[in-house]
Amino acid sequence: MHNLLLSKSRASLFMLLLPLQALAIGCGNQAPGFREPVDLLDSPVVLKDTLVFVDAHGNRAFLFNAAAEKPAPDAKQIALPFGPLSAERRNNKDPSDTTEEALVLCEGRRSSTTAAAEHAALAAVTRAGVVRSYDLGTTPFDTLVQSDDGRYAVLFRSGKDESRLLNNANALVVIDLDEKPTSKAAVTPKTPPSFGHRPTKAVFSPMMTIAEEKDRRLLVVLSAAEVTLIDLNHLDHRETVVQLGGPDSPTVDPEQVLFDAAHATLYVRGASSNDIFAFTLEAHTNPDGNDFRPSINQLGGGSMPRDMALFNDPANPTSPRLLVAAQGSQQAIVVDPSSSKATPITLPFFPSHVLLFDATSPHDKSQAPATTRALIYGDNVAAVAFLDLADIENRKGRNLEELKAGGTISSLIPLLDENRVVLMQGTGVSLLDLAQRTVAPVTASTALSNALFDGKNKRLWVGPSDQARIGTLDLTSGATDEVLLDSNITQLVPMFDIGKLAAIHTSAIGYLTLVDAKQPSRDKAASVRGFLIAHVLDRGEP
Amino acid sequence: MSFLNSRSVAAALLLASLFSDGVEAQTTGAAAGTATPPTAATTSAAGATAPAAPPAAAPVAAGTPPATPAVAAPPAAQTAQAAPASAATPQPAEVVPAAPQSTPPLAVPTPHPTWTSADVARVRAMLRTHRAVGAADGATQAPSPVVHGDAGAPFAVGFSVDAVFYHDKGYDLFANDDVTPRFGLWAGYDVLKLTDHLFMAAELGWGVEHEKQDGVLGALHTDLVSHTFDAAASLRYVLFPWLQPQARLSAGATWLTAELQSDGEATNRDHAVSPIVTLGGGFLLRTPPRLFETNDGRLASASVGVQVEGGYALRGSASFALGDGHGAQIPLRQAELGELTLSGPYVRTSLVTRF
Repeated sequence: MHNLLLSKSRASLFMLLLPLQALAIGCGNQAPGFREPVDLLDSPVVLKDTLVFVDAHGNRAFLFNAAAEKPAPDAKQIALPFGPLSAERRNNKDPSDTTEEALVLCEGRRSSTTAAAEHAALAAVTRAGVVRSYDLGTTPFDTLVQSDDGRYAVLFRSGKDESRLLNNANALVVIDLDEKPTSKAAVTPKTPPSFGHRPTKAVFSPMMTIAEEKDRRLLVVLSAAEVTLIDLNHLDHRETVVQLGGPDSPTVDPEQVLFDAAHATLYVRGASSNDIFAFTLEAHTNPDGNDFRPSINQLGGGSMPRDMALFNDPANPTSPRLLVAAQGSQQAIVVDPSSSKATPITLPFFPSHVLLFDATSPHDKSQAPATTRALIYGDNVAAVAFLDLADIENRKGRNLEELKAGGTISSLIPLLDENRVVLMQGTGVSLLDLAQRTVAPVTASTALSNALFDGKNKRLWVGPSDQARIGTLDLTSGATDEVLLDSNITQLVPMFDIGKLAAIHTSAIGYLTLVDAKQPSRDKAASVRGFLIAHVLDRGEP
Repeated sequence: MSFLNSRSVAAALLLASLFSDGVEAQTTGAAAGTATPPTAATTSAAGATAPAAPPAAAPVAAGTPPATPAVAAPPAAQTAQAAPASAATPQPAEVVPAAPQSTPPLAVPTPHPTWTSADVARVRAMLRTHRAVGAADGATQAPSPVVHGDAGAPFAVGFSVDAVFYHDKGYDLFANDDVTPRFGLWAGYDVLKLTDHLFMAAELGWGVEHEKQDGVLGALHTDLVSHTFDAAASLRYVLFPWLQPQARLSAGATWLTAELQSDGEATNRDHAVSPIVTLGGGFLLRTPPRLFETNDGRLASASVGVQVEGGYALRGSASFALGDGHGAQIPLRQAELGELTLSGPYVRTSLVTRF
């Protein structure tokens, strides 16, 4: 009996120890970040020698420096405001300005039982990883448009907004990026009145003289039936809202704006209207502070105008002309805004786009100067048309020349400094010489969706996804070549300022190959892998 | 043959056994008497000392008490007790009450046709006891009680489960908690008896840890395997035969293999070696001595128990990288993952058998 009691007590002690050990095994929790996926935005932002990868899920950015010949497989991590949605390079018109920033639009979040609300923000990230964050309030903006010089950015919500209990569809924010985030002038919220339509597009005007005040700029906000003018020089002034739709056509769906800075005029083309709306900004004293008002003129743009361009006819230097691609009537229409006179020119195909260029023509006499001409082409059309704009209203169709492109055109990359255009044609590209009006077809073994032009090296790069070869087209000699990489390509990212091309490979941990843009070859390429998780053990968090 | 029922068979067996006992005794005694004169003491094959044998007895007729055996042989386990004493006797002696010094003579029951085999066994046991008492009475010059000590168990083999604590946050890349079980095997031998109750043992051990994670950073599969080899010295104090506190110092090395793979990519593998020194203390809970001893004395030294130990493992950090380029032809630089700090406390539980 004594032995039995002893054995029972020992067994009990043993049983007591097991839970202790089980408890020990269960303690400690994994850092939550390790369970979160790395969800990079579609394309990294290039800041000279630095690639900025934005992790939308992790609210952070990875800054990978590619300057070295064989870069280190490492990336600097920086925290971003909550909910990165899109990222792009800040425009910079002045080449001498070394400021390089990426603008990251973050939509914030609502409060929940486990987390506090975070405002939407626009983060400006420098190459060094310094972040300036502009508070945008509670509205989760999803669209960022910046001015050509990168000074202004406007944010609005173009998509359907059901993310908040109450949403003002017309809310937008204008940001002066030259101001510090703490400055009162940095962020200007606007809620222009409208007629029930949310903004769809925004355009910044060039410097214009308006009401005798020079260097004024407008922000033009387009919605389905309205055009809203916001004076960037006087953001405290009230917005000017122009309703374009009428009882017969309630929506115009404006989608293109051209500016005639010399005449303080802007032209608006709508997808649902055959008219071109000319806004002439006239001086006018308004009680709300504005010192101008638009005078609107409707110009006939043919049937279904799909694109337009402004050009100066040497024969009529006082008034620019509008060239409109009227798809419905298969015409190119030249419009004189001052008289509303339209001159139609019948085209051999249905036009969709107009591209102006300055070049000579093979039909010109020798030593003739380059003049403004138009290249007209259509979506999924296997031809282009050259239109000489000099004296077009008199010569009409005699100035037209059609050229077969060899395949339907899906998109076009203008290389105007080269007087060339690259026609993307599904399974190939064609190099169109605008002066000679010749086409050099380059076939491809796989579908091509985009191409990159390297102006420094006069080279065209293509790198279709899901295969491991980069194709090159020397624009000087027309020679083609290809470089085989070690892994399939997701996308090509130009870093031509530092003489490199980055090929991003499919990888969850970050994998890219840097190719020498001057001498593309395997020997001069270098790959790095794992930079998204570099030193993850040291950091203790992903 | 129907008249040969079971009881008659049992009676026949009893008679045969009684006769055989007598024949054995007669034979043994004859051998002792004819070969060599009995000496004061005879050394058994196992080295144990037994009382001198009395003179040989005459043959015993059936139905009469058998003669006292020539040698009152101690149990086999008792014989084995003395064997390891010269090397290392890890267990203290346990005093077992000796057999009764005097037992009234037993009247040998007459075999009966209705006896069962149990009856036969009971009678045979009584007879053996009686013979032993007789032998003890005959050897009045050696009345010391029979001592049944621990049979000695210098060998130990254990299966261990260690709960190893890792404080390094980077360990989360491989595990969703901070504790990893390490399963191991070890073997030890008592090399030194420092006092009657204090023993030093040498041990060799091996343990394996394996952590695996899927869905790390959304798409990664991570794997960390470590094999730890160590040599240890332990001090064990026999507080009670069933409770023995101990301290243990070990040194060794850990061979770690880290793997990282994402979907559609080659597996990245890297290795690291980390030295390890542990110092811990605990206790052994074991079964009482001779619990598993058989009638013929085997397994007298065997015991099983649970050994619990807590301590701290001082380990060198392990650095990992993504490894080489897996045949990449374009020069490839792969990221360093960093260092993993592996030092930390541990709790070890072992199932131990000693023999």
